[in-house]
Amino acid sequence: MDITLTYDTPSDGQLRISGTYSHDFGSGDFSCPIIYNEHVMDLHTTESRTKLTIQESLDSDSQ
Amino acid sequence: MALPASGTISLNEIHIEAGGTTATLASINDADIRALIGKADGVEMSFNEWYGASAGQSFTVTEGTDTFTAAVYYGFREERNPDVGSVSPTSLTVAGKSHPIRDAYRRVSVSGGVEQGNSAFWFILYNASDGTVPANDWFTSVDVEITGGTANLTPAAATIVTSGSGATGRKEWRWFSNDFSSGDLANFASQWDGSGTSDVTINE
Repeated sequence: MDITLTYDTPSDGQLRISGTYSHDFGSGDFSCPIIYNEHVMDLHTTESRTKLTIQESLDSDSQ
Repeated sequence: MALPASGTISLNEIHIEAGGTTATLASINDADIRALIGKADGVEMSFNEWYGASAGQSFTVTEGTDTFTAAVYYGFREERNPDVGSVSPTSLTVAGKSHPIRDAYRRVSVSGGVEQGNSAFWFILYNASDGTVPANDWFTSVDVEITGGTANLTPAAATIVTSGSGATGRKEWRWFSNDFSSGDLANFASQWDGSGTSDVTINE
């Protein structure tokens, strides 16, 4: 399932991002710490972790 | 429940917040009262320093074990029917409103029937009965019992997700394995093993 995160582009040094997510069955809010690798913002990993959390939350709804 | 943020505050109110009995002997230098605001013995203190102070809340998870899709869960899962494990008390008070505890567990991915070792801690509250959603940072930290101590986790380190709305909506705080120190992670895994009880203290 595709999960889309919508958030403002973070500034250098910013610690968290917050925004909204949407998928085929609904939407909600998220907030997560930004992952840094050697002081470089890693938004790909940040998004992956957040999408994983949302996916696993959705999984629980399908029980 | 936290002490008032302004206005009149009495030693009796502070004493009760610290777990004391109303109208019994207390002093602001008592250890439990000082602990509310992190003061050392004998230092200068003012009553307004207790504005908003809280002794926090705690709950005890009687652990169960649940395997679902690609993960195994150790702890409390109200989302399952019947519940996996149990929790006491069953709700927490946030900003004066009661929020049922939905889940508190250690989650580990499983592949081919083998745990992959990536423990995460999830803490999930339902919205209040009027649909009020708890703030992301309504607590300053959470102390999760681990073997030999506690692991302190903060909202700043958590991935936080809301879903749904109304009384059945929920907010989830998730801490990944790298939010634990390596030693704590092993002790977290040994404590949250699906047996016995584990305590969680919410610091406000």
